[in-house]
Amino acid sequence: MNRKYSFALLSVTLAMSLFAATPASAQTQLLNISQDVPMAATLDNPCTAGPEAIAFTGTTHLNQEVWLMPGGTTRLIVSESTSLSGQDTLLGLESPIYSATGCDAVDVEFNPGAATLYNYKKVISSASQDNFHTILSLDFDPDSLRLNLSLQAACSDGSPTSP
Amino acid sequence: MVAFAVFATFLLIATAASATSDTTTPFNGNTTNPCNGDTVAFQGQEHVVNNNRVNPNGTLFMNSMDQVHGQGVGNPSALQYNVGKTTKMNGKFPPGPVIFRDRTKVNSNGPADNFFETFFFRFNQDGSIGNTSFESDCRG
Repeated sequence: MNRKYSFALLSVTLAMSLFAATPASAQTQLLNISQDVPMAATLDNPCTAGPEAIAFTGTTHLNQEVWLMPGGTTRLIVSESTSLSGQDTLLGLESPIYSATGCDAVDVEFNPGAATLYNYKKVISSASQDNFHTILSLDFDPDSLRLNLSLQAACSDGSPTSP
Repeated sequence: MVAFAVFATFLLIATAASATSDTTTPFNGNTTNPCNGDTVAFQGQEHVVNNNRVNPNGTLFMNSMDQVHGQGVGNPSALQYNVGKTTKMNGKFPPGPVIFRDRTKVNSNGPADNFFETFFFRFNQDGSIGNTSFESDCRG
């Protein structure tokens, strides 16, 4: 057996073994990261008539996996734990402390492209007992595969209303 | 005049669609506890509230909640198993179907191993509810 033939046979054998080790239905992991993301946003409580400028700061601990699925779809697996607190800058030192903490996990599969997840966190303060929530928006960038985080305010816990 | 008619038709087509529903559906079926081999005959109900909408460009805005509660008896152990889960699904996705997975523990009232059930909540391209399925595992 000459050297060129041996090399070709070895290449074919190697390629076949690799193909055999990877089932056609396998999903491919594209990203697996864990990180702490500092958060900051100034929000108005939309459940109250008066204006507030509540300066929230805190951290989101984020675990993220991105998978390429056999049909070409994207699978995004996210778990996060967020802790925020802040005071109303319009009241200064007299402001109560507002806090929002919570954990959420989402495992979702969709066609390739940009997507956004919305995770609602109940805001607690001594000033009011209402339905004030922060929405943690996680914007998925299909090019970088990363999530960009931001905060908004809502007077809802995100539950759908009956039609 | 022709140009106006074409434009008006386009506007009609471009109106956002919505898929809203509030349904409670009983279910029953068998699953296997892969931790001990029990066959568990489950029965329960699934309550789904769906308030989804699709933008003219096909983007799907999801605002859904799925509550699953069920009980079952294992064979041959005769143990009682319980599962209950509320899943909220809020997000914005590219045109096309969307699948949410939610893995939850199935608890038994005896010495049999607990196991896990992953629910697959499927939504169609128009935001309506597709079928829900589940599979069990013994990890973790």
